Amino acid sequence: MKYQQQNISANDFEECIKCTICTAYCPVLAVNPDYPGPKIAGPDGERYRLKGPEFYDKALKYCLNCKRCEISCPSNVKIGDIIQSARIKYDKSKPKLRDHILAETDVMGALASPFAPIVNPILKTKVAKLALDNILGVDKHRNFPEYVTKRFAPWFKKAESEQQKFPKHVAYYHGCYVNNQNPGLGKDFVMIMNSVGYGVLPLEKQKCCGVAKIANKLIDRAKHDARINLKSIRQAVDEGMPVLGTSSTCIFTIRDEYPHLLGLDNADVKNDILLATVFLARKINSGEIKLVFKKDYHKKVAYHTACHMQKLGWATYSKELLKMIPGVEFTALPSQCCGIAGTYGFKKENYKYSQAIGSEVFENIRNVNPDYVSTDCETCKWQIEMSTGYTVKNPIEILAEALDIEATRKANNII
Amino acid sequence: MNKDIQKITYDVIVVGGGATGAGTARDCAKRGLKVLLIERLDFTAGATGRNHGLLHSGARYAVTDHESATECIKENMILRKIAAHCVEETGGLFVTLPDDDLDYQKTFIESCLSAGINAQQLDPKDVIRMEPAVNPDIIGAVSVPDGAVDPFRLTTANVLDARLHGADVLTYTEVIELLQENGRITGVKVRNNISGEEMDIHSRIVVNAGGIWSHGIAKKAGITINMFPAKGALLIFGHRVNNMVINRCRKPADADILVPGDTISLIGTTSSRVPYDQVDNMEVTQEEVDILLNQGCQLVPSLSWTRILRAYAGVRPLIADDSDPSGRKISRGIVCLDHATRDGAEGFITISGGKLMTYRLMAETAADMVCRKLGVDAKCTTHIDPLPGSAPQNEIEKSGKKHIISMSTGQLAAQERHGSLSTNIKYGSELDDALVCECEQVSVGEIKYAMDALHVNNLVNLRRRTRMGMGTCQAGICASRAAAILGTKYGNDRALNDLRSFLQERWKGIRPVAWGRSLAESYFTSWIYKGVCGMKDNEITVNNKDNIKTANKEA
Amino acid sequence: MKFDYIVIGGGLCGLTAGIRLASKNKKVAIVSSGQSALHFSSGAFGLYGYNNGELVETPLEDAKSLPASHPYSIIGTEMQALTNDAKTLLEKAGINLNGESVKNHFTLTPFGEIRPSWLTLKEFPVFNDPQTLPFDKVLAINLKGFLESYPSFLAENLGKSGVAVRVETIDLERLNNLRKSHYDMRTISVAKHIDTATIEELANKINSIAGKSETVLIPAIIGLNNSNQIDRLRELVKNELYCIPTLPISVGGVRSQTRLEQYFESLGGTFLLGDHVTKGIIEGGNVKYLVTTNLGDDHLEAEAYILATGSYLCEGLLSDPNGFKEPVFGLDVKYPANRDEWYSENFFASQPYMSYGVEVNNEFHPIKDGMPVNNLYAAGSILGHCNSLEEDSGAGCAMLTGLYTADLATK
Repeated sequence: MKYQQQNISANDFEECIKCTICTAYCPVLAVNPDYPGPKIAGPDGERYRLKGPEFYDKALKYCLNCKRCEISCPSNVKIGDIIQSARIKYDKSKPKLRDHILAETDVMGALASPFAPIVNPILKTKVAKLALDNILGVDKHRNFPEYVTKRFAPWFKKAESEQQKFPKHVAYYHGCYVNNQNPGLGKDFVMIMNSVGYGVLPLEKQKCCGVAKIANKLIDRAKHDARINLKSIRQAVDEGMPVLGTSSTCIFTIRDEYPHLLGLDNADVKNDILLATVFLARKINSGEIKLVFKKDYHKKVAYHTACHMQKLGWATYSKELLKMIPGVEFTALPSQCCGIAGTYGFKKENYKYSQAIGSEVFENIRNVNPDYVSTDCETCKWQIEMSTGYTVKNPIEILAEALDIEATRKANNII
Repeated sequence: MNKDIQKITYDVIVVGGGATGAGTARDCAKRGLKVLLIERLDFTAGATGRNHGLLHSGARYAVTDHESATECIKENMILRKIAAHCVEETGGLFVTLPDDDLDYQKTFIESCLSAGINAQQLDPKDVIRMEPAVNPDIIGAVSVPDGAVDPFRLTTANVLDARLHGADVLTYTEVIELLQENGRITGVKVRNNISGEEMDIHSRIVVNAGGIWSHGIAKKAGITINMFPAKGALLIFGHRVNNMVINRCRKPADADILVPGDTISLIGTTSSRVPYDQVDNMEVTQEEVDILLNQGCQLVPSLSWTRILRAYAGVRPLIADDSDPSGRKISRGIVCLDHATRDGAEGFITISGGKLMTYRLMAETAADMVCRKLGVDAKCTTHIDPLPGSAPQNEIEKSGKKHIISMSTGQLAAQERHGSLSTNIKYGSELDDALVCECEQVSVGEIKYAMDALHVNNLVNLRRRTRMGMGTCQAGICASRAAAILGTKYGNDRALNDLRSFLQERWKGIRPVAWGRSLAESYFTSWIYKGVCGMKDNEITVNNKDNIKTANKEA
Repeated sequence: MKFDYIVIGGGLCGLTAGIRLASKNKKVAIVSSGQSALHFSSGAFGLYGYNNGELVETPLEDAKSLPASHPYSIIGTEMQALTNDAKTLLEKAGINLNGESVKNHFTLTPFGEIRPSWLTLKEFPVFNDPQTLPFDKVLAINLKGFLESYPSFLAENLGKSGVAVRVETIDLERLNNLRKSHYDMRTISVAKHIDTATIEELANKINSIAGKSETVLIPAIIGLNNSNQIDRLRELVKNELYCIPTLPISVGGVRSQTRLEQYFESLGGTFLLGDHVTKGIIEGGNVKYLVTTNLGDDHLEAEAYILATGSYLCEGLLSDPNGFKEPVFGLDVKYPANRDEWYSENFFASQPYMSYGVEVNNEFHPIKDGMPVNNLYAAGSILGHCNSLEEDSGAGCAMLTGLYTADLATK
């Protein structure tokens, strides 16, 4: 028979055999009785939504889009995508002012940055926190990540001519976090790349990856930005440069959410969009580059696999790099959701679930008692720092800290 | 079995719990008669529960059978009013494919219009937008007022209304003899198929509404009705592929109707004569599955890659036209036989022929004859009075069910299933709100309601009343949950045996289409029940006699 | 990425093979497309429980009579040694079990049916004679609102064996919030809620209702991460106490999976969860490399590969109306052309389709287009000629072929 050679309907929802494994790995389901869970919200719910849009359950908003359901699914059902697509398609409620503020990470950064010395302390005051909590619904327990006065992008632009001098190049998608809150990470990345012979160049243009906009249903805005990003990425790839990032969430969004949720095809460049740690680990494995570390560096590091990192399947590369540092006493924490999920945990209505979800992660960290927690995701960093008090660093920052720059340059024949 | 029933002389005993029997019982009861409805298995166990669930506009018959077409459109309009919760007003299309003769369309539209069916020619381009599932290569399309009707709900609603009007109802009660006195049928001897008990029940009239089994019932009085069993096979797809009924605009043939019904879509049917002794033994063959898919994919290409949940077949109760002495001409319309004039058996009527669409009209015709015979002067009101569950939607919402956000999907789904009667389902308690069947969103409360109020003896009955086990996993993960609840009423031994035969019944329909994820699903079901739960192969009888064997064992 | 060995499939078989290889100081990766069927295990691991519906008492002995194509026959004389290794491996991973391979013991299913077993998690009751249960008075406990446990069915079936069973429902305060969910009063979520205080609450409630000589049977909802909780509960409860499996997903299954994964990683293994091998490239009778969804251009390469992708549940084996196929390499699978022959009418009878799988030679090298693939081994339920559900040999087949192929690969 020529028919029925495959059973694949849109989004694979009919591949589901109702085994319920996803429900065991959903971090929200266990703490929030109002959330129906990935199976019901995803493939089961999709059947009903095809029957009629009135069957859309608003409780789908509790999904924090960690994709752990997809990772656990033995049938390859894109459960998380089904749920997020349903939110985009059926949830007609308008994003609140609060959602705009949280989602527009780039705009907020641009506005706040010049006034960082004023804005940061204000955001820390009880009054401001209560105002945010009461008026906007941003939970009062949260610390807003601090804005910097000197953003990364201008520095990066200035460095361009220096970077051009290197024989080989990569393009850097720094995203909002490096730009507005942690330029140091970007500079660390550039330093490491330089020491192994790569110049780091900016993309022609770059916008926020859109993860927060997608989560807050600002889909048109997200698409607009995504198109600009993809155009610049294609340009860089055409020039022979891979496009690297230092945030697992940004890279995940550009690689997976653009085609799956925004309907923007990126298949032609997908393999060229990588996390910096992935690029480095691969080059080291193939013998193209070498990293040499300081002899006197001693740190206990616990690696936390962010959800989107787990979904990307790349944690192994970051872990491998950290384990390469001779002075690092390395522990891999069990891969679990920390509960923040980008802007999710900032919302007042989600705060208690957010903390309940992360409790095991926090517990595990306390048991290890490391010098640093390391993770590839900045929102995990905020959550873990706020909830445990431990310092959280991107693997790139730890590499930079441990790197013997001169020895590395020598090992890679960089004069 | 309630022995008191033996003391009553009913005005009328209706034999057969399909739509026609239930409708006849309802009509007679509403006219003030004392009615008993008996069914050998479960409601809708015959042809009523084994068809397309198509709310025909009549268009399908317009060219070949003007009378049927006219009946259909009238009943169509009535059902929309009286059975709102059983009907989905989807609209229908008749599409012409490149291989079909487009000239037929003109004849088709003319015939529809002359039968009073609002048929409108459409631009194929618009149709592809209206119904994206349709084959984009169509060269013509006509819209008609087709819809979907849920035969399980429709029959249950008729039974409930009959009961509200004083009728008694017995399921799993089979006629083993027609009682006769001086050439007059005076009642029935029945056997309870669960307990095995037998008893006589008396009535002034017996109405034979046994569908294809009418032949056998009449035979018990030595009366011959020539029936021609015609098997029709259908496939159920995993989700709603289409939102409008899609028909093929050509002379009626195999697999040319795709109907969306509740959460699924159905393609059918094939048509083949089967010997009368095979009517209890319908298996869908490989050839039938292949025909249905080949034809179906032409109508809607996505069927090629949509999961198929199961295949099933029903038997159309075609009946010989008494006007033809050779007995070979089939009557297409409603046949109401007065066996007094036809065979000299006073007090015995057979109502047959027709179709699900005209069940109400058939019931009216039979009830008219019953009333005439009993000298009762009462008008039929079934075309005006809504069935239980069909109260307007706004009354339902007022009943204010609690869900933290709004109504849960499960509550909405139950509301669609039971209409305004869904207010009888308990909500608000954690235990009752818990879902049993996750695919079809059936809660503990809904199961309990069905068990209390809707004549549920076993899991198959429960499935027909609630859709429990009808979804993607075909009861793989909910059968045991439901069985445990059933056990609280009927005992755990019976529940366990019933669970076994229910899984067997599910497998029967899955087997003809067991490949891809449906096969993986069945493997998972085997893993759970055979592997984890250790259920064994003992005392399983493979037949389609519903759950008789299980039930008998319990007794 | 280069490894010494790559195992495709992270279930019981893949993990066993991976652990065996990693314990030999090899660099090993396991690629697991999602979680495994081990989650559906009841906690009783079968080696060989039934032969054509008849109970098997001595699995090692009886396995000698299996057809030559059966995986156990291919392993041959090494079976006994491998069963011992398997048990040791599980124990090292922190999975505590009762049982020996020489003779099957028996345990109870969620419905109170008696089933044979090779190794059974320590929280479950085990006994040597299927006719004699180890208790005559039982208090079967359920949790309020919990639909995955069937003490009433347990009572029914145990009652037939002459055991007096009393069924009671316990209301745990800790579960009040969870119970508000319409969807999730299910095994794993319940287990996630059980903490130290809840164990005490449960113990107190059991102690307050348990009669003097009653054996207490509770649903297996404790010990998601390790068996400490079970030990603690047994300390606190005065009566003898066992767990009864729930319907999948089971606590014992998840615990076994987690323990094995952690053991594998502790040996230095790389567990790539949620990655999907889309293609295996074979050239000149050898696997060259694997392509996965997540790793893209960075192909996976190894000296040898073990295919442990399982059967239908986890898409190790696919089917369509025309037949069955192995999707990673397109290996040979045998089945009758007429699809009516794939099934039995009786749902509970032996289903022919369950014994379909890849063909292998006597060194577990799978056959592709009639020729063996030399650096590839197939193991576990992807193998043909073994109906593990019918034989109750799933765990045994997974572990023994996993160990055996790992040994072959390193020879």
